[in-house]
Amino acid sequence: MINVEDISVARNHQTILKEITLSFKEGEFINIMGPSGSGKSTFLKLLNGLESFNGGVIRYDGRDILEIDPIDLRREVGYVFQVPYLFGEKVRENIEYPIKLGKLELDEDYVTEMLTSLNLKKEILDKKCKDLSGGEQQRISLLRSLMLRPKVLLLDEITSSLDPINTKLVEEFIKDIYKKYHITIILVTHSVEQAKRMGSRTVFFKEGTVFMDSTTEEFFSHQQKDFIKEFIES
Amino acid sequence: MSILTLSFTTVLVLIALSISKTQKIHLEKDIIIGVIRATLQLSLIGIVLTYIFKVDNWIITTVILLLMIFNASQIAAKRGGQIKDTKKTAYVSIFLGASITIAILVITGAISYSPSEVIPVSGMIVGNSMVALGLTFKQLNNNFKNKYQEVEIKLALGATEKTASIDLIRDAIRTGMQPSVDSMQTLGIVQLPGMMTGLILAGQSPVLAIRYQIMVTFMLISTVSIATFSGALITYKRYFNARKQLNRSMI
Repeated sequence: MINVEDISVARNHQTILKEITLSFKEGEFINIMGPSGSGKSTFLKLLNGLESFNGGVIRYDGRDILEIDPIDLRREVGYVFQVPYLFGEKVRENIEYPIKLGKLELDEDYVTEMLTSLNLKKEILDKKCKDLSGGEQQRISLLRSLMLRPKVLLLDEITSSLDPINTKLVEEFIKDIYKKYHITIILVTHSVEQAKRMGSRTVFFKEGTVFMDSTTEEFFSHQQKDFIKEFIES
Repeated sequence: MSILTLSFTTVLVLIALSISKTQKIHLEKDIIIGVIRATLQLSLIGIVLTYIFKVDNWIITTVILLLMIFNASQIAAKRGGQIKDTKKTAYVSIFLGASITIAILVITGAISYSPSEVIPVSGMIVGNSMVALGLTFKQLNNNFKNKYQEVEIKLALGATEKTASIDLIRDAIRTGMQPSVDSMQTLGIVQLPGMMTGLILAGQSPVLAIRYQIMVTFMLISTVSIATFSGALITYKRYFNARKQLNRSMI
């Protein structure tokens, strides 16, 4: 579904990603891990066209993404940011925003179903954004990205500022929608425990390169490379 | 007013100087330079205007108008920080605002295209557009720096560059226009504007002076709105590249 071939990214004469080659199949659930500054978030932004690259090719469904209108690509490849930035006054504006952009009709049943899965009441839509807790804001930002029913969902450390209860809620929701809608999910996480609970495949980035790409089971087995062992135990 | 009488008014400058000195504001040098520059510049423009009014040639009038816009755009562009091509943008925007407004004034017969009418009117509208556009550039730049996350989230949801930044653009236009709108709302209550005061002091009837002032108010708001709208709409595009991504060197 997504093929990344020999991708490099440099900014201000500094290499961020170096000759990355990875393939993601439709319906896969992948964890991306690695130390801070290893290029994980930049990599994620490349996949929905929010960042540009200096060399290589990225193919989405066989097509070079440079030949796809970035707007069309972003509507199929959803992105949830680490900071749940809600805009406008009311929560509803956030849910309706992607729908209006896509000139679609709001599917109330879909919204209700998603809100229930996220353990949120429908009344939350009429609340002011600033009155929401951090956990509620992140759940709404997740729902906002799902309004266009993307085929791929990119999640950038979305639970890093949440408490354990909200983290569990969000994780369960992601696993639910993964099973129900067969969305391809790529999750950037710092949490070793979260990685164990989530994706079936784990890619480890180090200094802008792919250091390890294996099943999550193999990743957490006892035969890892020293650097990964150190990362897991830190 | 005789030259002697005018020279007596320098007492007013001495008041400003003494406040600056006694209160340690350290503006004495700037005030003195300002007074000298204002006197010399105004005297010089007085001589130039006397000549231009006498010649009454539409080509010279137009050249003067374009020069005024050029100077104003250089100053407005300074507020744009690292935004690319702000001088060009400012020139196009002020030119657009000024030319549309002057054309309407001339077509409706409010003024004639003669230097004695077009140059003072242009001075006012170009000067106001310069300030408004400078504020618009500065606000747009601040908005993109402070709210780039909001823009990027909207882009990620599939918004176009314009849709993703429309709130930032509107806010920048509002900021640029606000002083003109505020000033319009307080006319006659808080302030008696320069043009009207000048006409009354020169012996014109207050009714005629007010008529002119109303025209000036309308033309100022028109030019400022066109210039800020044009400036913001041209400038926001500089924050994006061809792949509809945020231009990171700008934020």
